[in-house]
Amino acid sequence: MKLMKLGTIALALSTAMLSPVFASELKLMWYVDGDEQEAKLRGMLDQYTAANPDTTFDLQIVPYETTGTKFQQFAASGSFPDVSLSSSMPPIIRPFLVDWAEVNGPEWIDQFVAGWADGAKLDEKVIAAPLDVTAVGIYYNADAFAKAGVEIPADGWTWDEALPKFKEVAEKAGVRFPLVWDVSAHRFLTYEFQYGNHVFSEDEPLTVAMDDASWEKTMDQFIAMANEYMPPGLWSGASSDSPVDMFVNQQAVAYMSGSWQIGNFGDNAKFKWVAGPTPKGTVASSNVGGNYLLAFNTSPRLEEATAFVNWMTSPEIQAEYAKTFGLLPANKNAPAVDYASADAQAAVVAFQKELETSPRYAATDQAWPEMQATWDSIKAGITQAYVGQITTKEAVAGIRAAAEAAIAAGR
Amino acid sequence: MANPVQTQPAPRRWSLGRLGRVAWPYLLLLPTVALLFIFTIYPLLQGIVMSFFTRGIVVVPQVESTHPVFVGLDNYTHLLGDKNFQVALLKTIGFVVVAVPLQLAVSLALAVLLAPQSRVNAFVRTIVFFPSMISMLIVGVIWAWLFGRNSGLINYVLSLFGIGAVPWLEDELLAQIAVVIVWVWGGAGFNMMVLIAGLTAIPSDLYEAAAIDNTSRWRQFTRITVPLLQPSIVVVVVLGIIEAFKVYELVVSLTTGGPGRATVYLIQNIYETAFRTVNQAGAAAAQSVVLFIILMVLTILQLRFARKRS
Repeated sequence: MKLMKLGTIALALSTAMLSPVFASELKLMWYVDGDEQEAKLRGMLDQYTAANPDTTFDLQIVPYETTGTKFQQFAASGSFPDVSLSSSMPPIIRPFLVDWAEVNGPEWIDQFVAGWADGAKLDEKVIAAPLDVTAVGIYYNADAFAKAGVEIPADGWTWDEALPKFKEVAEKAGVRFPLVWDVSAHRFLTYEFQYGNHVFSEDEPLTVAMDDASWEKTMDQFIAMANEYMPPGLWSGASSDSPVDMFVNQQAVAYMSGSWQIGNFGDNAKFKWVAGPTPKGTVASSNVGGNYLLAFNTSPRLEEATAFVNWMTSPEIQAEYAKTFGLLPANKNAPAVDYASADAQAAVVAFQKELETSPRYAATDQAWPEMQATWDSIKAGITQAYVGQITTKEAVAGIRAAAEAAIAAGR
Repeated sequence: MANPVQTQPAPRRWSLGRLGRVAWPYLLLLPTVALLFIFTIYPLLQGIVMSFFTRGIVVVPQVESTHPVFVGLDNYTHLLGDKNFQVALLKTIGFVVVAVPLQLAVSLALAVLLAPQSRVNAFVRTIVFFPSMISMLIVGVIWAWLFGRNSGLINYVLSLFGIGAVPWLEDELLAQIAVVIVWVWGGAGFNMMVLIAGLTAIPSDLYEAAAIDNTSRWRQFTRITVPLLQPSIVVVVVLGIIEAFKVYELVVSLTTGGPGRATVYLIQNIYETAFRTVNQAGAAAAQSVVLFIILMVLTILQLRFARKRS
């Protein structure tokens, strides 16, 4: 009995000595693409803990699609993680977000890429810390182009010039489809941007800035392009075909997606690929997106949480983060990133250039939180028009109605 | 001889022991009743109350637009002009009308075929029952791969025979048929087991008597099997109708409601209204109440019908 007591005491003492009793464990909510990315992220967190032994992490990985629902649950319970990754700040969580203008001063946000930084501002407040920037753009199967003897023009081309060439390459190189395109409202919107169309005004007061006739014309063009150059049924909204898998498996000449695929292609594409130049419409445009880090003022470890966010968004760590994940740093002061491969390096440079030459609305449109309540109507509109359930006029009217409702609800 | 002392029975008192004996059954029921109240009755009542308000799915004190505002029956009158809701409701009813009888027919055929005890039947029963153990979400994902137009297994096999790609999920009618087929496939095994249990309860001497009278197998089926199997059939139909009205996970993973909105059924429409539009939780609750009333009326009618027949 005595021996048992002694054993228990020894166990309790050793547990207490081994546990970081005084450490703060930050609860993080994050989303990643696969185990490999999670391992890379954990590596960075370990790096932070090594430099700051008092801070450890409880990392909760969630699917990107569920972040909206998670925020609703957190807001309902009033209990948030300490820090979360997010691509938007819905109205229900805004009262709980740390104001970075108060923590770091109002000029702090100016060190980040302009369009994405604008999305972090709410009146005088800065409610999010920009972490990375993404660009929408095109990838080409360079091997197929070479095999077909078709050159990709370095100074760019229009969709009218590019599409017949894609078809030619597909026929000559024996590739199944000329073009695949992510079935997403965000990627479709980029095509509207390229013809001068956008949803919201660029500045306050926020209004719906849609030119309905131009939107309809562009949507008609897109549907015609999808029917002629893309896999049949891809844009029906029900297709189980995966554009990214088709491109990686060399079943498509060109793939319209975004900069977040760079790391994936670096790891998985067994052929020579290049990013851009993305064909243009009446204007050249990408679609500025990315991720923010959010800290919550409900956190009992607020000091540690803000210190961690400041570390993650500092220029040097931004460069390291961007290199690790094949992303574009959001911090303009980040040192030049030396990416893992020459292809990845070239792709990042190409997409960065396309972001710089994009019109301002390519950044502001998505930065408005009201956009979060509009995406579904864009996806529903284009897929329904594609299968002929509604006209493009009705589709555009639906998008306008959703955007107007979002503005009304957000004010 | 002295009279024996007549003792009057003492008036029964609520002793602690007796109280315990009377209360014991209720105490045993309490956890179940509490769970039923917390997870069924309370949300139901809250949903009904919510349907008379406009509000966010989450009410945040600091965000005024999420605060509940009483609107009376507005959410219900709005449904009369809500095209998405009406189309989703009609499609759901159409799905129930087609899928439930089809699933019953398939389950009944499987039950009759596989009810006799043998090793082969036991093995086949296990295979047929297997899909019932998988989440409908996974069932949908598996069939989405099989039905893929440009990279699906079914179209690949068809192509080996020179048959062109079939737009299983991209054509409006085919997509609805695909949902029915997969739903029947996913649930037929469970129903089959319920029906086999019912079949084993039918006395075998009835069939022996019918055989002596030279009654055909079909006549035995229609005059003995079906009438005596009615309690099990009612269970299968009632559960089938409820499940069919609630079809959601399967559709989300199989077609995501497409092509366009061709396979958006009622639950998906309620979900989209509540979670994908701004401050429309009251409208979604009104749709849920309509669904609740439909299911309640149908269930009561079926149970009454079954009782009358029995």
